[in-house]
Formats: sequence, C-alpha cells, structure tokens
Amino acid sequence: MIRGIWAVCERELRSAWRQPIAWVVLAIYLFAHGLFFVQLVEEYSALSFQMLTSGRSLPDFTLVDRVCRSLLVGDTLLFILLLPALTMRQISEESRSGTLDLLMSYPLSEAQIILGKFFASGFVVWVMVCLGTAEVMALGLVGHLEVDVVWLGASGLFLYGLSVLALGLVFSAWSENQILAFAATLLAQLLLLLIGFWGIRVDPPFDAVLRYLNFTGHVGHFSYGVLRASSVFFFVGLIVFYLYCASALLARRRWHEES
Amino acid sequence: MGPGRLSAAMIEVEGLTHRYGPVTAVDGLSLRVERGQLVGLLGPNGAGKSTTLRSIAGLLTPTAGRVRIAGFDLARSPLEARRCLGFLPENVSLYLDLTVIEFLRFVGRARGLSRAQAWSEADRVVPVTGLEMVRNRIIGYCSRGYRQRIGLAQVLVGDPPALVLDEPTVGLDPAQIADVRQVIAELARDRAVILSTHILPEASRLCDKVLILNHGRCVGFDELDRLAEGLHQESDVEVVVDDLPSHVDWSGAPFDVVEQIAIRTMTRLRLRLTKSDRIGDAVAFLVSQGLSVEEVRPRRAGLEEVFLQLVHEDPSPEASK
Repeated sequence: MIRGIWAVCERELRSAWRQPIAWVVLAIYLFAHGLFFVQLVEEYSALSFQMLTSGRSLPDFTLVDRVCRSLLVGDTLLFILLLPALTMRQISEESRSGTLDLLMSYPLSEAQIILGKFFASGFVVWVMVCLGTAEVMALGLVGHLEVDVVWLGASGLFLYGLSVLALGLVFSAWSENQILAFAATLLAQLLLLLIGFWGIRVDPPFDAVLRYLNFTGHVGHFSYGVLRASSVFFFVGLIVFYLYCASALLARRRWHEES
Repeated sequence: MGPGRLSAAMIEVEGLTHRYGPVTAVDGLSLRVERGQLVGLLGPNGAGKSTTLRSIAGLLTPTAGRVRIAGFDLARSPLEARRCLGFLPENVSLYLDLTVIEFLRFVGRARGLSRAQAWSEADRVVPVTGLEMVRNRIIGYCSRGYRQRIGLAQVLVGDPPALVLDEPTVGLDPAQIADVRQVIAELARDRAVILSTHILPEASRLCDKVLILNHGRCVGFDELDRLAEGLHQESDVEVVVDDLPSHVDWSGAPFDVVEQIAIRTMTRLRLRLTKSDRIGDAVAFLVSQGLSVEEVRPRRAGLEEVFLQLVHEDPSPEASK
C-alpha cells in the first residue's frame, strides 16, 4: 500500500518541480505573502511609534495579534486562489493525455493513486507554509513573538491547504478539462466561505451548523493559539471525505467509460 | 503455490460482454492464451478490439463475463491480476517530463517492487528493448520509435507473464516496425501475449493463433492454417508447371470442368473447378497444350482472404435481427 502511494507521490513531485506550475504558485504566494507582511509590519511600526509619542496603549497590541493573525487571513484567501492550480491538472491532465490509462493498468488501487497525488501537492503546500512562516519567525529577532502561537496558526493554515487540495482532486477526477477543475474548486471554496458568513445571519439552530462549516473560523482558532479537537476533526474529516470522493470518481472510470 | 501456477492459461476470458448503453461492443467473447503463445486480435474498425483489450487490462469493467490473468480473477483480485499483466495501450502516452530510466523505475515501484528491485528491473529492460542510447534522455525529447520502445519496456518491468499489446507498431516507419516486431517475437517466447493489429502480414508472421472479431463477436479463433483450411474451397487448385509457353489455346479448355483460369506467374496457374473430382480432366487439358505439370495442390487462403471472408460472412447484429 505505502510503496504504491510513495511511487505515485515521488513521480508527481518530480513532475511538479520540472513544470512551471509549482514554481509559479510558490512565487506568487511568496510575493503576495511578502507584500502583506511588509504592509502589516509597517502599520505595526507606525502604530508603535504613535503609542510611544502619545503615551497611550492599545489592547492586544502584540506582533501575533497585529501581524501574524492578519497575515493568516491573507494567506487563507491566497490559498483559495492559488491551490486549485496545483491540483487542477493532477488527474484531468493525465486523463486527457492518456497516461491515466497506463497508471490504472498498474497494480495500484484508486486510493493509492489519489493519496500519492495528494501527498505530492501537500508537500508543495508544506514548503509554502514553511517559507511563509520562516518570514514571520524573522520578527522574533526584533521583537517578542509567541512562537507556539505562530506554529499553531501555520498548522491550521496547512490543514486548511490540505483540505483545498483534497477538494481540488475531486474536481480534477471529475473533469478532463483542467481549467474547469480549477474554476470548480475555486467556486466551491468561495461557496464554503459564503456559507460561513451566512452563519452569522441565520436563526438557530442552523447558525451553529453553518458556523461549524465556516473554515475561516476554524483557521481562526488555530491563529489564536487554541487547538480545538472540533477544528482538527473538521479539517481531517473534510480531507478524508474529499479523498474518498476523488477515489470513487476515479474508480467510476472503470465502469462508465464512453466508447 | 499461487493461482498463477495452478492455471495453464495465463489469460482466460469467459463470456466477456461489454455494452455501452444500447450498443454491444463485445458480445460473449471467450479465449485462452497460454504461456509461449502469441494471439493476434484482428477485426475491422469498431469491432470491439480496444474494448476487449481494455477489459483484459482492467481499465474497463465488463457488463458480463470473467477475465483471469495467471489464474487471478480480475474482478475479485484486481491488484494481483494486474501485477501479472503488462499492458501497452494504443498510441501509448508517457510521462514526457521524466527521463527514460526514471520512468521505468517508477513503473517498477508502481508494480510493487522495492526500490532496489525497481532499479535493477529498469536496468534489465533497457537493453532488452534497445533503449541504451536514450537511457537518460527526457522522454519528451525521444522520437516516436523510441517512445514505442519505452512503452514496450514498461510492459516488461516486473516480468509479467501475460502481455496485452494494442497496435504496438502503429505510426512507426518500416525499420522501426521491423525492430518492434523482433522485440515482440522475443517477448512471446515465454509469455502469453495478445497483440491487436490492423496489419495482417504482421499477424500472420508473428502470431500462433488469430482471433477475428466482428461486431463484437468472435468469428474465428484458431491457428491461421486451420482457419484457412476451414475456408479452403475444394474447387480451387494451384498448378505448378515447368514453364508456361507463350501460346496456349485456352479456348479449347473444358469449360464444363474449369470455371476460371488465372495465370499467377510464369510457372503457376490457379484453376477454379466446377467439380473438385474432375481435376484429372483439367490436368489432361494442360498436358495436351504442352505444359509440363509438376505439382497440383489445393490452394490455401492467406490471412487477408480469411479475414475478409469471415468478416463479410458475418451478418451485422441489426441484419440478423
């Protein structure tokens, strides 16, 4: 089982770094993340200076509260836009080019193929989160930084990223057109974002359900340094559900291929 | 002892049926291919060849019927069955961004081999398929002929006892076709091979048996000679003569006995007789014309003739309703 997953993952990683898509996604993320970061640090410095000159203090005025948390919100939105690009071609392109036939003729289960691809794109996201977090950690050199909270926030962002990748694989297995797979993943994420916002407006008991489905809320818990089992279960449950759907869609090809 | 050793046939297909909605692409096909046998799968376009091969390779689940590879039922033990099968799809698509050796190592890993085994298997199949020159070349930069060889090489990784090759020589130049045929002939020595092809001389040269599909049905499955015998028209004979004189008075031929005379070469005639037991009369006429008759033998149909006759004799499903 593991050998097959690793075989697919290794090949995906080789291809990912030899094609521009992973590099472009990484470059755009680091550029946008860097811009947010510089902007937030500048604002923080300006407010610090004002507080020093005015002698007044603001509540929750820490690097984590003013820089890291806002940065995490920005990263979450960036992930909605960027991560579908990592998964859009993973199955749809193989299906279009015909390499999926070869892959599915090997003694690999659909779950092994999906997991191999998921772990490969997950590694790219892990690199993104690590590089982004390393930038934030640099603040610790010039000020007091709650390192545990930063790492927990990064873990939340990583879990969220994995859930986007798993959803992206569902749409990549669903359509042979990678642009369609990208657009469907993006729209589904935006819809989930909207559902979260509707949770504030609807009446009980639906508000609780919709609030639970709000992924920004769960990432928020991580960013406050709170490790909630419900948030971990939310993301892990979503990932398992999406990966199961992607495997089922892939298996369906053996039953419903057109002549 | 695994099922593979218990079963003599490496590829067994029983009552394979595949329907696409109202269209029956394959209808109750059965065949057995044993180790050391190379079976050619022939048929006109749309006969169901690719559907059959894809079902055997596990890419399609048949509507009915059973496929066993090395004794493993494809429906019940799909991974074990696929481990014993190498499949070369038509117009093989490869991972163009990998080098040849990286790709073959990946195939080994995907076939469940350890890293060391996968590397040694990749090293083993490279010379077998003549890929030494392009071993470290990115597949995207390889010629079509080499890509076809890479496709054949991936089939061999893990040494599966059963191979399914869908149009392995399509799109190659004559030299490449000859090379690939030679590789296939060598592969078939100790494996069960099913080869789908449109090129009839290729099938007659390489295959021990041919299976002719038409409208998804098997219209002939046997050794080529036996199929030809089955079709052999007793009234057709070939006559070998010493030399054909320039002036033969054909008008005096006994046309009540000889329906048709065709001069094939300067030493070979083909006669179609009205009655096969009147061959003596026909030969007597030839002798009377000064021809020295050396041999008279029943004419054997070639694969092309067998193919065309079997396909044309088979009514379409619509017509037979």
